[in-house]
Amino acid sequence: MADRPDEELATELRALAAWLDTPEPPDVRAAVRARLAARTQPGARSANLTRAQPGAPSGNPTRSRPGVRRWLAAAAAIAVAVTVAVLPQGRAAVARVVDEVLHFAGVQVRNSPGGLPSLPASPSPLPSLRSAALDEARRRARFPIGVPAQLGVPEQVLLADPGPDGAPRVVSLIYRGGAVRLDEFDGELDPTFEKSAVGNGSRWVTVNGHSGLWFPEPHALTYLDRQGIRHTETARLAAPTLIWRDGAVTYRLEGPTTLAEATAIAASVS
Amino acid sequence: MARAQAGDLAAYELLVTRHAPFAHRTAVLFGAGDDAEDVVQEALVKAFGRLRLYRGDSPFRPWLLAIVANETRNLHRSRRRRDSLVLRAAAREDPNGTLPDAPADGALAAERRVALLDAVRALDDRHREVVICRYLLDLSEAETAQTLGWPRGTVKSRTARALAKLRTRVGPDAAREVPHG
Repeated sequence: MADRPDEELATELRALAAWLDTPEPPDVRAAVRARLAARTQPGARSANLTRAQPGAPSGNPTRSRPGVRRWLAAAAAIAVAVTVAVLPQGRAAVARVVDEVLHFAGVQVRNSPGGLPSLPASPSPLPSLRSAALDEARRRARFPIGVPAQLGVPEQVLLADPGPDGAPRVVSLIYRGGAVRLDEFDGELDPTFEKSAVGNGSRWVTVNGHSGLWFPEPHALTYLDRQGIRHTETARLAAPTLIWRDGAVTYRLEGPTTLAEATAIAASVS
Repeated sequence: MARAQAGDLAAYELLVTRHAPFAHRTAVLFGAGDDAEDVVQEALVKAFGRLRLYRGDSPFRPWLLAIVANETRNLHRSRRRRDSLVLRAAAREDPNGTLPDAPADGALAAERRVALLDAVRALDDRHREVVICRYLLDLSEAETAQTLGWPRGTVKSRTARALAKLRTRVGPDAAREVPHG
């Protein structure tokens, strides 16, 4: 009869519970209250985060946020010392340097002599982030969405910061559980991201015959909105990143650790 | 409860006060690690939105825990990692403040605890989850069924199966000697 040993084991397991390392429960009341209050009064939200989701049920806006926020936090956890850098400044045709900031295809690259700026402990996702099917992303975006054949169908497609017409400003394809992401945006418009403390190893590369930049070291990444305002709450530590441009679209591939892997993925985008 | 269901934030806060700590423990045991606080926040925000669907014919706690468990699973999917259960750093310090061999319900020598916890970690998801609910969180069979969203019969059979697996892995406790004197 198995009852008796089961009983003993059950008792042991219950006793084991007391030995587990569980942190003190935090007081979440204020945070929950604030989030619920913000939700019940949409006008209370920050004015420059325009949300264009006509008819979306009130329960939905927060839907895709937690996963992504945690993903961002996970990325930030890849903390590695970052050295201060001088970014190579050639190829002025594709980049302009203003006040020591390199502008390339919708990305500002800034040297940060003091090293990494201080980053929020848990970075916010891009504004009004939500997930969507690839088809929907293609329908809504104002730029063509390339998918890297080498990575295949994205695990998740995220749309961020929609304009009044609902067209997302940034579309992100998420792979490998968030370890690899491909951000796509119209690089001919205003700068969309700012990178700082980009490290010594950053250099110009050629991707599919187009110019690109390779940042092999972790660096700070901040979102710039349509008004050019830096969203410091989104600042996070970014993994190695390859940026290139194809036509109007700028691609920002983050996650592959070697340039060879990154360029192979980039070459498979169509 | 009725006031909270009608959208009264202050009334809901009473529910939050009462249930958030256990929800947090649940998230941690399900493997949310440092993200447990996020999971609990998210679950409580969602629970408020769904409160109208809560019918009150079952207890509130497992209803909320089901949302917490689900959020934790979403978290695992998004980051492809589950934080393992770990023993306290001061593993020899008895949490109940009694001597290690004193509790009548069978003392767990440190070694035994490590082996048992390893065995729990090694279980596949559904068996580990049922062990976490039934024993580590000490939920009833009915509460476990609701938390995990399984029929009660499934909880019963998986519990039995999980215990059998654990037994083959760690063996009976009976003759084990306590290493310290």
